[in-house]
Amino acid sequence: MPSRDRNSRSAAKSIRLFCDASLDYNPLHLDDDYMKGNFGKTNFGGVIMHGMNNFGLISRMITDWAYPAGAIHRRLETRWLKPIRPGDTIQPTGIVKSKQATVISRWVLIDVVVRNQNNEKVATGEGHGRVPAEPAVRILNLEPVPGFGPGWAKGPLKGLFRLTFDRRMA
Amino acid sequence: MPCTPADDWMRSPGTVNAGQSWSYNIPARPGDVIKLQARALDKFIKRERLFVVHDNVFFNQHGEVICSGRGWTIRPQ
Repeated sequence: MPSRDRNSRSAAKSIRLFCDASLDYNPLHLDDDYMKGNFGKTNFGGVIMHGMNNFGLISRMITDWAYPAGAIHRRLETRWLKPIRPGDTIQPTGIVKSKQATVISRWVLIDVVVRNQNNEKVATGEGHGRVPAEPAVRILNLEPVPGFGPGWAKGPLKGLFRLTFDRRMA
Repeated sequence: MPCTPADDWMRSPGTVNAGQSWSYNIPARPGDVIKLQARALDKFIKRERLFVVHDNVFFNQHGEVICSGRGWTIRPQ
């Protein structure tokens, strides 16, 4: 999956922007003094980025890739491994790990890894894309031919039917 | 779309996002009215941390599920 520059994000400016965009003004993202305290056994030492900011960046990487390919973004699951701090730059990457075709769709599973400027893994995840299968033709009408069987009687279709269809537009 | 009030326990300061999974079913479009149904499914202690399991479902004005998600947070005890 190609990574683009627009997919890497520097955290300092992004954290403040994301507070306003999400209305999430949790002190984790704003108050360095608050963050000098302990969270159980964890001490972050300063503000950290919203997880959903990272999630949005990964989502955009997937949709940038999927939409031009005619696919849709169906699911994304992530785990946060390390906090992201002001001054960090992160970049997600995606690797297609499996593909499967069913009657209704083609499905793609994507392994996601987000790394910071020191090449440390800060998040992992799994994305799920779907390429809807388009029928080759569109059914316009289906009608029984009079005199050739019971037509729309209850149960399975019996007799002769006339099918009208056209080629489906791409 | 009304937001969860700032004094709601779900938004308690110091809550850390531990991970989540979101599924997207149908598109939300301009003009849609979105409703969020959110609830906590479980609270448990793991590695001396208080975890909460969240269940979130977004509906449009027709009652169709737009997207749904499961989330995990770590909370101040």
